[in-house]
Amino acid sequence: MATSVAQALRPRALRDLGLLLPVAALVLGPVGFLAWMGLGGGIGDLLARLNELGVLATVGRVFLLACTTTLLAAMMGVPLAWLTVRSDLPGRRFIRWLVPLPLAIPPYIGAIVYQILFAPAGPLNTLLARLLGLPRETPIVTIYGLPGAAWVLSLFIFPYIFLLVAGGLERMSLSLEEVARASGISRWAVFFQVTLPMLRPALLGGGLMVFLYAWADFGVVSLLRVRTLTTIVFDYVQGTMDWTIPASLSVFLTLITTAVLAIQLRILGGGTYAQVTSASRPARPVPVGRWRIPAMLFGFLVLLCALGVPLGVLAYQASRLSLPAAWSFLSQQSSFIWNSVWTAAFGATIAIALALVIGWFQARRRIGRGVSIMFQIGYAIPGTVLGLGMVGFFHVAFPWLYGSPIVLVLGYLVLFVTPAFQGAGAALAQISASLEDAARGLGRGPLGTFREVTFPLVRPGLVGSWVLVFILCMRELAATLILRPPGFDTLPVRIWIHTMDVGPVPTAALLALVLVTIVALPWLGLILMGRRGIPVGW
Amino acid sequence: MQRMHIREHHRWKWASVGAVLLIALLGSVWLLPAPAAAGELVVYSGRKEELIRPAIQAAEKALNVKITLFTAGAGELARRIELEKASPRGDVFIGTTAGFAELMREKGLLDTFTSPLLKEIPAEFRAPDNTWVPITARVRVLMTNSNLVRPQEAPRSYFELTDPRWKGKIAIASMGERTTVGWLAAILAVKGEEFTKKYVAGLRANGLKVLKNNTEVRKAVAGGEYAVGITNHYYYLLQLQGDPKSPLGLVYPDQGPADMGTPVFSITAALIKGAKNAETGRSFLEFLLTPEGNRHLVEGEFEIPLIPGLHLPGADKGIKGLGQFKRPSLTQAQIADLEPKVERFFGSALTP
Repeated sequence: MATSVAQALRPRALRDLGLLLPVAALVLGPVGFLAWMGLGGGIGDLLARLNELGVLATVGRVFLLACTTTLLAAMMGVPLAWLTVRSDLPGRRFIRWLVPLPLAIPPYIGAIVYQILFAPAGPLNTLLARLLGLPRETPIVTIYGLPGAAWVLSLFIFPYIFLLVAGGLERMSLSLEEVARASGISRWAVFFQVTLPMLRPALLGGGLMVFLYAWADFGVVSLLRVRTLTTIVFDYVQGTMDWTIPASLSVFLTLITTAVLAIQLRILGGGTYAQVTSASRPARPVPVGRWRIPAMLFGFLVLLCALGVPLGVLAYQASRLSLPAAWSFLSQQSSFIWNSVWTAAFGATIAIALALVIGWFQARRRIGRGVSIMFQIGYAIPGTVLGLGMVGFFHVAFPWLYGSPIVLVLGYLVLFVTPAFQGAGAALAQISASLEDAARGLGRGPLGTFREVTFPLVRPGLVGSWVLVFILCMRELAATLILRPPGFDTLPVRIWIHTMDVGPVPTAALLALVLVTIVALPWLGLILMGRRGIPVGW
Repeated sequence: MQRMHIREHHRWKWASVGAVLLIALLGSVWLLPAPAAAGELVVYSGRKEELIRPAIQAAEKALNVKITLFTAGAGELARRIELEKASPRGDVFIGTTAGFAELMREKGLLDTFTSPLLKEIPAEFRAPDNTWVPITARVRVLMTNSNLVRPQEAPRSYFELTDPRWKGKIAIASMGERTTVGWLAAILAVKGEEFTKKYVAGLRANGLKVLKNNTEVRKAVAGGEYAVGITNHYYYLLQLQGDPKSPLGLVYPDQGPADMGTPVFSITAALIKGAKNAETGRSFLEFLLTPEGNRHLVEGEFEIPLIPGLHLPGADKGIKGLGQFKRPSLTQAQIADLEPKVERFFGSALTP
């Protein structure tokens, strides 16, 4: 008995290992390299230096930033979700359609925009000085610092919470709320005592997505002058030849992130994915009554800050270039645009293919769980850290790959197979094996079964996931800055270089506008095609 | 009806399969290593890309080569060069000061370069063994906001800045900008370790604001966020170029007879050891030292020329040439050799 179990297990364990090893190498290799570089010197000396850098205070600051961002994002996402799904608010369909769009604006571009608006001698300060009759020498308001960074981050990632909560509300059975209402409980009490507790998984999932994003962010905090672990790492990477500090900080950061991830896995018990599907029975809209005007104003304001202002400022800035100048600049940059598009498309395609393989193995062979955990760790590693680790690791382990765009694509895979899996792989895992068995029984081969049964069933999720991963790759900045081979810049890197060199100038705005357009087009296409099931990668 | 639906599915399926294949194909074609053409050069540059481009373009034309410019922080470039030492990907390194060039020289990562043109440059700017090459220079200055500080009240010395009068009013670039490190290295060389540690502690206690880079410093001072910026002279000219009405003042600090003067840093270029296009690299460096090539660097970046016969940009706006102000008698190598110590002592104070 015991031996037969062992025999049955052995090939499976081997296959699992065969799947796991290359992926583990890809994810753990860079971290291992950093650990080796960072801990090479004495531990005591290292701890003293880290203490001098104020690492603990910095961790506290980043934690505060991530919490504030999550709170702000929830304050925008939850009410808007309820209003658009449950209420009779005029224009709710329109709001529903527009609210996911800020996801197409990378937060660092949002930061550039708000930096222009809040610049010391910028439009907002000039206006305020005139209104208040104050001298114009010193700025009155500033976007720099933790509150500004939390505000900008939340504006461009709150749709994650919105999408998850809206999906949760749509799927939620109405009977409980109706019973509560019928027992004479007020509408507010119903929301807080019935609706909100039932939304717990969606809230936790969305909240953690936002939290981890803010936790690992580099672009926004760097532009808005918040000292975080990622900015310290980047500063040491740029300004010194020292490996000890950036590498050890990176390992530290990875450990904390993995811990957060482990807690998340415990709370939610596995991957957090949600597909926006329609409820079996449409809810009777709750009348908003006298709250109509404030509610509409709220929706309008959020959309203005997250969509109208950024697009308007970028368009205005870019319009300061003459048309021929803009054209010649863009044609000069066209190779970078092409670099971005093909690496992102290539990365997204392989990520989806990998996600399908993992999903299939998990569903049909019950192996591959380790692989998806590996990729989840990869997803949670801040891009700056991953970039630094991968450059070193590939140089040591795969010198023939080092310095080619392949490393960039591999970086995208480590970062984004998880969101791909949540859309495509999870869809595959949900398909009952009996359907495939039936097809096999009717004489179809394995490929035929895949083509005629499996693939058509996962296809709707596939398109959405591909677009999502494409967008994530297109806008990746932190890892790309370090991983790019000489002469192989991408669009976000060019935007970064232009902003760093001379500040937020028309050329940077023009490039940002190009990036937002390339990213928004497939997204808009998805929405216009009326595809439900926009996947929400966390 | 059902059939049509299935047919629809097929079309979709093949379209997506085709798209996947196409992308994979395009990707792999793109990824094939391109054969290295003869006239090629890879320049690792820590300089501002828009400002160095005129010089690069002039070199491309004069030498008839295709130059790939890789812009990143000078430290990141040095780190890459060290990683790649077995098989270098870059040919020429251009740094912002002698700092990284000197570090790389010590690690044996640089090749030597000699040229009769180098003789024109004062010895204090040259490498002890002709590895790195000084191409232009910049001087450390104080930039003030003239709305917030009247010219007669502007600080005259770096060491005045620990005075409570300047509390919360001073900005400096992080150590991502090597000139910040070089500036403290010069102070360390002249004033000694104990004094410098006390000075930096005093600056921190006085609320010294560390910003990401010198561009941020110049914008913050011009915009009135900070009254005084410790930065390099050409940021004054860059700001005036962007907005001629900026309320700016310029101070060459510590110019009294007993004072240390203000340090000058040379931009350095070097040939990477084992470079694939070493010969082209040599002609490129040679070109940067000719008046024709150097002119683009000096004018493009508003730098102080080190070779004779070039016009000093900003002379009409109060910029002084070498010899018109007091500077500590230190060689670039002496400053550079102290930089690791500065990193070590003050790294935490100099990260934003």
